Amino acid sequence: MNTAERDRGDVMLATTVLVVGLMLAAFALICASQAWAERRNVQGAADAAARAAAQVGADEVRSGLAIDPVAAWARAEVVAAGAGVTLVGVTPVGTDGVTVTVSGAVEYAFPVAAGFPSSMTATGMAVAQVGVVAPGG
Amino acid sequence: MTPPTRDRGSAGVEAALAVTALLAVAMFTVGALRVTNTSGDVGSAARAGARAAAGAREADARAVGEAVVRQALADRGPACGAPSVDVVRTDEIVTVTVTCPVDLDDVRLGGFAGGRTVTASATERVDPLRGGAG
Repeated sequence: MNTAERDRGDVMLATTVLVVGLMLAAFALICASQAWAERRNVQGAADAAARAAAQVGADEVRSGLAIDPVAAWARAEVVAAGAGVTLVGVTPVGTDGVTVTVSGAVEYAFPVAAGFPSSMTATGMAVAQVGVVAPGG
Repeated sequence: MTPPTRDRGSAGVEAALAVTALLAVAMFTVGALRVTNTSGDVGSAARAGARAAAGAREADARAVGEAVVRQALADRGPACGAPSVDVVRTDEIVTVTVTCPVDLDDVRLGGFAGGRTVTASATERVDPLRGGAG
């Protein structure tokens, strides 16, 4: 067998392996960027829930702008439910601040690549203070 | 027939196939990243619209939210050409949903012949001081 016959088909095989490898790498990159984007959405929901928790009502204003944890939880929960995330925790920070934690599922726009979990949960945490309006995410 | 004669032309065919496959992979990557990027832009615009609508009077919430979304998307480039904006406001919250067809005509080879539509929504609590019914 001469060299030409021995090598016949090797280029095609190598190209196929290369292309499949590139496809998997591209797919993994896309899946990762989607996961990052979804985490940003969950963080945006946490920001909104924290702002809601810090929107004190009339009774809280009368008591000196102190956040009522129960009322803050209720306000944050309405926003979290509207955003499709789960409210995990509302923790007062001093008397006029609050930390809100939410979690939400990461959804992929494309079929998941090999090696990636079929579903992921992202957590977002945000702090808001009474009377401070932040631009948010 | 000698081996060199049998193989004549194979390299060219293989190269053409390989380049086509590589182009398809590259176009898929470009298209998918454009979809992901547009999805982020649409989500960001929806959040901005929800914040604006939550601080607007009830009668103005829809117009304010929609204007902010359209301006936010216009500022981020032409990937989302014709967005549709839906603003739903209740007594407590306002939800802005933005739907945007992504232009993928130039990367059809990557598997995007039918195009893609991305949707994002954001919810904000109505500001009890500024966003009243007045």
